[in-house]
Order: sequence, then C-alpha cells, then structure tokens
Amino acid sequence: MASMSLLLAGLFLPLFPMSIVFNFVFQRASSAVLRVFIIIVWPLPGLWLIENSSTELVDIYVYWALFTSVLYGFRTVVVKELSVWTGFIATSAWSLLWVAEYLGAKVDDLIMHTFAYSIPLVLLALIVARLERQYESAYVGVVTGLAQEQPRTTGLIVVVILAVIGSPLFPSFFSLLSNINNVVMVMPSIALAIVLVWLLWSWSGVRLLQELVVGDPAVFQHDDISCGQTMLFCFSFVLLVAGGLYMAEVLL
Amino acid sequence: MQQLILLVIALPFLSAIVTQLFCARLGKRAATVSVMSLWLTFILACITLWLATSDATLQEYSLLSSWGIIRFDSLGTLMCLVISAISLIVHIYSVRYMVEEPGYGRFFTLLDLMTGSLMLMVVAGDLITLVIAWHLVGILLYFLLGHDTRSRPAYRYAFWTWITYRFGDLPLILAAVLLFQAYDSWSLSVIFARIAENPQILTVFDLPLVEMVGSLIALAAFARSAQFFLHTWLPYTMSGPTPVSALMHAGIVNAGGFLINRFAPVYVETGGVLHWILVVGLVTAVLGSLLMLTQNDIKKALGYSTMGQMGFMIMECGVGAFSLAIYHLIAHGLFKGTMFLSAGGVIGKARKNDGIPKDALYNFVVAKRPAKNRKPWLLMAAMTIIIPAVVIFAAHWFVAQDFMHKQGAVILLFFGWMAGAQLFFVTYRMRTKNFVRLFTMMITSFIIVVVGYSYISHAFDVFLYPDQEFANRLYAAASIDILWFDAIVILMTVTIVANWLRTYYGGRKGHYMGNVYKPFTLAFYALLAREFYMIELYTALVRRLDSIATRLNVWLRWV
Repeated sequence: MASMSLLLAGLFLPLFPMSIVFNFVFQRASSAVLRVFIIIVWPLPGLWLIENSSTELVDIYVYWALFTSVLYGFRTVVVKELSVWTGFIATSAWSLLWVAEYLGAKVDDLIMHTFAYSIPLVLLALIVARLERQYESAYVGVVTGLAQEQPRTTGLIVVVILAVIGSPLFPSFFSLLSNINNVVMVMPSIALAIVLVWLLWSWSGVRLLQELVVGDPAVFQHDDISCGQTMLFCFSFVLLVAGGLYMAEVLL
Repeated sequence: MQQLILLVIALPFLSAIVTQLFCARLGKRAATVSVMSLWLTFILACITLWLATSDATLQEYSLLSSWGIIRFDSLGTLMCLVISAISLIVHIYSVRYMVEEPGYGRFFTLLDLMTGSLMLMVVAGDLITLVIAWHLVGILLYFLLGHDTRSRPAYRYAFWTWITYRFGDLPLILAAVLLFQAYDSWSLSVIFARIAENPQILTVFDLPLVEMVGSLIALAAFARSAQFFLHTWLPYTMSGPTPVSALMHAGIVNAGGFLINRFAPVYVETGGVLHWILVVGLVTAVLGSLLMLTQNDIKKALGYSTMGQMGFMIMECGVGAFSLAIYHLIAHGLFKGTMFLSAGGVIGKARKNDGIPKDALYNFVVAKRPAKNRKPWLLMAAMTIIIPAVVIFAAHWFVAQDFMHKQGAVILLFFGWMAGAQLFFVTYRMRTKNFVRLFTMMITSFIIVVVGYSYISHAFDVFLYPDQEFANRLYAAASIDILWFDAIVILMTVTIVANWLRTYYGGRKGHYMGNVYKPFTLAFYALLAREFYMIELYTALVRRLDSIATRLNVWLRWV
C-alpha cells in the first residue's frame, strides 16, 4: 500500500514514465488560467502522498527522480515550443523534490521548494499564453526577433527564464543550492547529478531565449505588453527575489 | 570605513536602477548619470584603498545573519579600485561610441550592474555572496556581449561564453558547499581560520578537503580565465560592442587570478594542486601565444593574446607567486583595455595612412629582411644569453636577497631571461646604422622595465601578503623535489640555448629551417591555423547531443 502511494506520488511529482501524463495534460490545456492552475496544484498531492507515506523513501526513488530530472533537462535542450519547454522544466524541477524529501526536509520547506520552482513557471505560462494569442503559436521558429518588436515583453521573458533556470537571488537558485549543500556529503553522486541538471537548464533556457529574442522582427507587428502589466510583472519579480532571500535565510 | 566600502558597491547598483527607470525620460542623458556615479565610485574606491594601506587589519560588515558579508581587506580594496578605474574609462568611452546604437540606456544599466557585480565579487566575505556575484558576472556578460539584439553571431558567441562560464560556476558551488559542510560556516574568515587550525580534514570519497576544494576552485578559475580546453569562447566574442570587449579583456577575464588569490589560505595547505595549476597555465600561455601568432584576423589574435596572458597569470599562481598574478592582471588589464579602446581610432587612421615608418623594425618585422652587416654572431649569442640573465638576477637580488631560495621565483626569472634574450636576438637581426646606440637604448629600457617590475611586484607582495611567513609557505606549497626541479631547469636551459645557437648559426649560413623539420613544421602550423580543431570538436559534440535529444523527444512524442 505504501509503495502504491509512492508510485501515485510519482504521477504528481513526476517520475518517468508517469511524467508523460503531466506533460500530456499540460500541453493539451489551452487556456492560461488552466495552465497556471495545473502548475500550482499538480505537485501538491504528490507532496501530501510522500509526506504521509508510512514507509521511508528508499534510494531507488531518489535515483529514479534524478534520472527523470536529467532526462527532461536534457530533452529541453532542443525544445523550441514554449509551452512544451515549460512542461519539461516543471517535470525536471519537481522531480528534485524527491531529493529534498529524502534528505528529511520539513513540510514547510518542501512547500517552499515547490513554489520556488513553480512560481516562475506560472509567470512564464502567463507570458507564453499572451504570445500564443498574438502569434497563434509560441513556437520560436515562428516568433523571432521579439526584442525588436516587443522590448517590454522581451525583458519580462528574459527575467522569467533566468528565474526558472536557477539564476542568483531567485528562489530556484537557493533551492538548488540548498539541495546540493544537504546532499553533497551523504550522496556526492546526487550532488553531481543536480549540478548537471542545473547546467542543462542553463543551456536550454538561454538557447530558447536567443532563438526567441534575437534577429529581425516579424513582418506583422504586434502590440507590446502594457506598462501597467509590465509593472505588475516587475512587482512579482521583486517579490520573487524577496522570497529567494527569505529562503536563503531559512534553508542555508 | 564600513559605510564607505558599502557605498562603493551600492553606487553602481543604484545608478543601474536610476538609469533603467528613467532612461526613457532622460534619453541620452542617462549616460551622464551612469558616468557621474562611476566617478564617485572611483573616488570612494581610491579613499578605501588609501585607508587599507594605512590600516591593514581585516574588517567585515554583515548584511544578513549567516551570509551577505562584505570583506574589507587589501585584496578587495585594490581590486575595487582597478575595477572602478577600468569601468570608468569604459563608461566614458561608451558615451559617444554607443550613442548611435539602439538600447543606449540599457547598455549603461548593464554596464553599471556588471561593475557592481564585479565589485561585490571582490569584496564578498562569504561563500554565498561570492557564488552569487560570480554567477551574476556571467549572466551580465552574456547580455552585454549580445547587446545588439539583431546580431545572431553576437548571440551565438555570447552563448559560448555563457555555457563555459556556467560550467565554471558549478565547481565553485561544489567547493562552497564542501567547505560549509567541513567547517560549518559560510564566512570566509571563519573558514580560513579553521583551515589553518585543522587543514587535514577528509571530504567526499575520503579525499583531502583542501586538495578537493583547491581543484574545484582552480577549475572555476580556468573557465573564467579561458585556460586551454575552456578557452574557445574568448577569441570568438568579438562581435559584441568594443567597450564590452575592453571590459571583458581588461577586467572580467582576470577573475580567475583573483579567485585563486582569494582562496590562498586553502592553497597554502595543498600539496599537488598548485603543480597542475602551473601545468595548465603554462600550456595555455604557450598555446595562446602560438595561436595568436598564426591568426590572420587581428581581433582573434588579440583574443588569443589575452588567452596567453591569462595562462601566464595562472602559471604565476601555480608557482606560488600569488601577488605577482594580481600585479599581472592589473597591468594586463590596463594595456589590453587601452588596445581595445584605441583599436577603432587606429584602424580609422590606418585607412588614410598606415603610419608605419620604413625603418629597421619594419624591415625586420614586416618585410622580413634581416640585416646583412651585423656583429659577429658568436659575440651576439653570448650577449643574448648573458646580459638579460645578469640584469634580471641583479634586480631581484637588490629587491629581496632571499628571492632565489624560492623555486617559483626561479621559474619566473627563467621566463624573464627567455623574454629578454629573445628581445636581444631580435635586435641582433635588425638593420641599423648605429648598432651600439640601438643596443645601449635597448639595454637601458630593459633594465628600467626589469627593475620597475621587480620593485612593484615586491610592493604588491608586501601589501597583499604582509605576513612574510605565509607568502613563503605559498611558495613552498608550489615547490617540487629539488633534484627534479634542477633537472628540469637545466634541461629547459640547454634546449633553449641550443635552439638559439642553431638559429644564430642558421642565420650566418643563410638558412633558418632545415628540410628535416619542414613536414613537421608545416603539419604543426596547419594544426595551429585550425586552432587545434577545438571548435570542430565542440560543434560535433553539441550536434551529437542535439541529435540524441531530438530522437528522444520524437520517440517519446514530445511529452
């Protein structure tokens, strides 16, 4: 029964091949609200299940989670569609929550780790939804030269992607750092795997960014995001950084 | 004093915020805000350095509970001054240079952020702040190099820089967490004190902690300072704006030397790490210089020149001459920054008039015509070998008589002797009417350079490492068995002198390269011209990984 609950948790804190379900659902969700809802809610049942599981997590789950994280991190390297990229990164990031749980993180800390990865993805999903409305696609082969056409949107995408891939001062940075710090003496190979995942995120994030942002603008011009919305996003970035600093105080 | 150093770091960040928020309203005047703040930063950095020279005791200021520590010491304040000076020059240069470019305000915002991050990096008093600043520098450099958002080549090469820097960030993170786990503190002062008390701690895989951490930090420094195998980004990042190239070559790329200096209390306890730092630095110095000589593209040649210099800087750390590496990075930063910033003007003038005097130097370097009537080659060969050695040894003996007891110092003297002798050799081959005058001038300038260099390096040693015992222990950590050392030095000397004599003799006979060596020389030249096929190698690797990732995605139907 306990094993069943852990396997079920693998559906929500995605473990390959159960991760396919999340990505299938996420990619089929067409509205921004639904995507935001999925990103916020999906990992929570998984957290509840592993927290309330009657058995201790065994090593195999951690290695399985890391395999999933590396696999999806690696797969993002060639992904050019923003919604697919968001789903893959979410899978890769949430898999790391197994490591935090294995290291004995408290429930509060686990929730903090979860939101550290999820909130930037929520912001990204909102921007992607807007781009999809404008271009009827968020495939970066179609949308290029965004910096020339929509400088404000470009600035927001740049900051959001930096937040997603674990850049300093954002919560994901401190979450990854905390995981490595906690695991390095216990299981050094896991620390190395997390470092590899971090590198893969950086690689794929910047690759995606420059495909999207750089180049000559599209023939048909679209309106940039409004100043008010930009301010709202900027405010959320400030909150993210504040959250990151709080996380660092708590976890490090 | 604490408030002053905080202000030095805070000013560029404040300037970045103001410039970004008001750039639409300020227009071209956004640059004025940025430059004014940099002037103020520079002045404050001068004051903090002056304070540091008058009071060498370490002071720290903590912004948060366990991290966010600002460290006020001689290395940090010196680097702050260097960074603010170079950044100020780059700011002033950019005011007019970038005025026609789109994203004028953004450029100055990024420059200010970069200046602030670099300063934060050099005064970081704990591992988390250091890692954050180290990481931020890489991110900001990527966006500065890719300032022109229309240019795909600029971003392509900026990406190379990004991924190499990320590769270098991660060992630093691992080193930081290993140190924290061993000494239970993020603070550098606490860690260094505990290392001095108990350096023999074992870490993961039962390896000695200091060796492990020293190697990881060295790896981070190698990526940042473009050492061989991690160097390909440097010669190719010339598509970015010229001021960014200047800042990168004059400041950012030198960070490897700073990082190794910052962790000197770790390296002083290591056994073999400094040896392989020496080897990597030496290989990079030699290959960087060779690659520079074989480039047709002058910008790439400049890039490889920086690589060679960085190799030398890392090599200096590898022989235990830590303070000399700092002097080297400052000197290199100033001259390379000048070269980049004046390159545009020189090219513009050269289009009208090349300005090259058709004199002895031109005949030798450009027309490749060696002198016909020269002094007897045996006499010149003797002078070539003896005079630089006498000048270099005498200068160092006057500065510090115990200098020759350090193996690292002997290696550096060896390099100085080689460079001096090469200079004399070149002079011998030059066509001139008054050879005695030329030779006297050259010896005089050589003496001034060597004596100046010796005194300045000694002053740096006293300022950065006032504890003479610690400085001696650094040299000792870099030393090897005396028999092996002597054997290597003698072998190197004999090889080099024999080759000089062969070249002199060949010059007398009228041929420089025998047919026996020709196929080997041509093959080696081809290898150099293709830059050791490193680009092809990395490109093939990335394509292979892309191909695997694509197949996986197709196989798993992109879910």
